Amino acid sequence: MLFQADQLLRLLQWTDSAFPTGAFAHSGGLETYTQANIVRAPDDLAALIAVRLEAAASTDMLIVQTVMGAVHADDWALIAHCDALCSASKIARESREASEKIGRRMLASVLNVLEDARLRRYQAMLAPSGPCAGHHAVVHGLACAASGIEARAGLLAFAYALVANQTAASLKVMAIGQTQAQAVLGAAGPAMQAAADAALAHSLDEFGSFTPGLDIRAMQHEGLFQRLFIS
Amino acid sequence: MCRHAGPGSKDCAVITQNSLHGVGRHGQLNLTFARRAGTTVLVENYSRPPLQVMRPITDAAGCLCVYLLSPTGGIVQGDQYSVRMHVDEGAHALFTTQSATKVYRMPDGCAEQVTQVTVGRDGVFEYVPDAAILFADSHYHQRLEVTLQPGALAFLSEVVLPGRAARGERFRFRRYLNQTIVRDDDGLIVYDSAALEPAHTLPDAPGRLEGYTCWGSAYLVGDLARWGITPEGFTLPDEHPRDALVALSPLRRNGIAFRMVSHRLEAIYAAFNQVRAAVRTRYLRLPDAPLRK
Repeated sequence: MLFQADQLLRLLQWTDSAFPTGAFAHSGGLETYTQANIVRAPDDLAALIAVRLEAAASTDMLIVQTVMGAVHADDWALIAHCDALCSASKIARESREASEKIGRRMLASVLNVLEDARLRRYQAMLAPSGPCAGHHAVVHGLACAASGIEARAGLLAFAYALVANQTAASLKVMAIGQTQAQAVLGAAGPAMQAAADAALAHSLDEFGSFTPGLDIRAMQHEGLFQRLFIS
Repeated sequence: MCRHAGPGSKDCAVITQNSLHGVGRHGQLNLTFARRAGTTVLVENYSRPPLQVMRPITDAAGCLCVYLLSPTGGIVQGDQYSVRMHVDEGAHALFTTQSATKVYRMPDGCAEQVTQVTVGRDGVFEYVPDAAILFADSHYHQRLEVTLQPGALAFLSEVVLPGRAARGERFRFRRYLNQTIVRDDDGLIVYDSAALEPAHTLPDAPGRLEGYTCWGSAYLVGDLARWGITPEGFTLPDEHPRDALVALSPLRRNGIAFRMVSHRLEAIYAAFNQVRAAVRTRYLRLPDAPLRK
C-alpha cells in the first residue's frame, strides 16, 4: 500500500473526530446495548465491534469499494444503485438517517477542502432534486476515489472511523476509561484489516448482513427514556 | 461451497451439477389471482411436483388463501423451486404453507427457492409461510422478489428455526441465505439479504441472535399513505426481553419493517399475525381470519 503524503493527510483529516461530519453524535445502537446491560465491560464492547466490522465488510465497506471502482469506471448508474442499496437495506430509521446525515455533512466538509467535479456531480444527484440519499459509505468511496487513494487504504480508514466512533461513544455510555477504550481500538486492528480484505473479496451480489440483534437495538433506540446520542 | 446468491451465479452451477447426477427436484408453481364479481379467484394454477397447493380457500375477508403442501419429506439437496405469483388489479391473495418447511442435510450441495410476485394496482398480498427448519448440514438459499404496482399493499414474513430444537440441534446447518427484495416504479424499497454460516460467524454474538433460538422478519410495503397506514398504528407484543425482542421501524419510503428474535416460534407467529390482523381490521376494514393449520 503506497500513499502520497497528501493522500495520507486527507484520510487523517476525514477520519479525525474534529472533522465536521456529526458522526460523534451517533452511537450506532451502542447506547441501547449499554442501557440493556448487555455491553458492560471492554470485552463486550470488543465483541460488538467485531460483529459490526464483520457486517460492515459485506455492507458499507462493500459499498465504499464498489463506489471507488465505479468512480474510476465513470459508472454513475452504479453509484446511484449503491446509494439505493443503502437506503433499502438500512431498515432501522435511526441508522439509515445517521448514514444520510453523516454522508451529506461529510460531502459538504470534503468539498470545503477539496474542490472536485465528481463530488459536485454526486451532490447534484441528492434528494430532493435527485434520486440519491447521500449515504456515508457512498460519500467516503467518492472522496477516496477523487483523491486517487487506493481501495484498501480507503477501506481501512472507513473501518477505523467506525471503531473509533464506537470507542469514543463508549466513554459516554459505559463505565470504561480512556486507556481501556484506546486498548479496544488498538486491538481491533487485525479485525479492521480482515474487514477491508473481505470487502475487497466480495462482489455486490453478496451485499447484506445477518444482524437481527443490531437491527432491533437500533430500532429500539428511538424509544429509550434517556438518550445521549441521536442513534 | 456455494457463496453467491444471484441468478446465474455459482450456486446455480452447483445445483445444475446435482441435477445432472439425478439428485434434486425442479418444482414449479405459477399462480395468478384475479378479481371476479367482487371476489378473488385463481385464474392460473400450474404446479410441477413436488410443489403443489391445497384447494384454495376463500376466507371471511374475501381473500383467496393458498396453502403450499410441504414437498415430500422436505427440501433435499439439489432441490430447486420456482414460485411465480401474480395478484391482479384489486385482487386479495394470501400464500402460506401447510406446515413448517424442513430443510434436510445436504452433504455436498445446496437447495434453492426463488419466489417472484407481482402485485397489481390496488391489489393486496399476504405472504406468511411457516418457519424454515434448518437441519444439521443443510445449505439453503431462498429469495423473495416482490414488485408492487401503484396502490398495491403487501405483508411479507420470514421465520427461521435454526435446527431441530426438540433434539437440541442448533446452528448445525452449513449456510442459510435469505433475500427479500421489494421494488415499485420508483425503485428499491427493501433489500434485505442475510447470510449466516455458523461455522464462520458466532450466531449468539451481540448484534446477531444474542442467545435467542429463532428469528423472524416482516415487511408491510406499498403505498401506505393511500391506506392511511402509519408505524404509530401498530402496537408490538409486550414481551419480556428474557423471552423475545421485537421492534419496528419505518423504511425510507413506502414501508414498515418488523424484526423479532425469540425462544419460541409461536411468539413470532403471534406477533406477525397481530400486525396482519391490525392491517386488515383497522386499515382495510376487513375481518381478520385465522389461518387454517
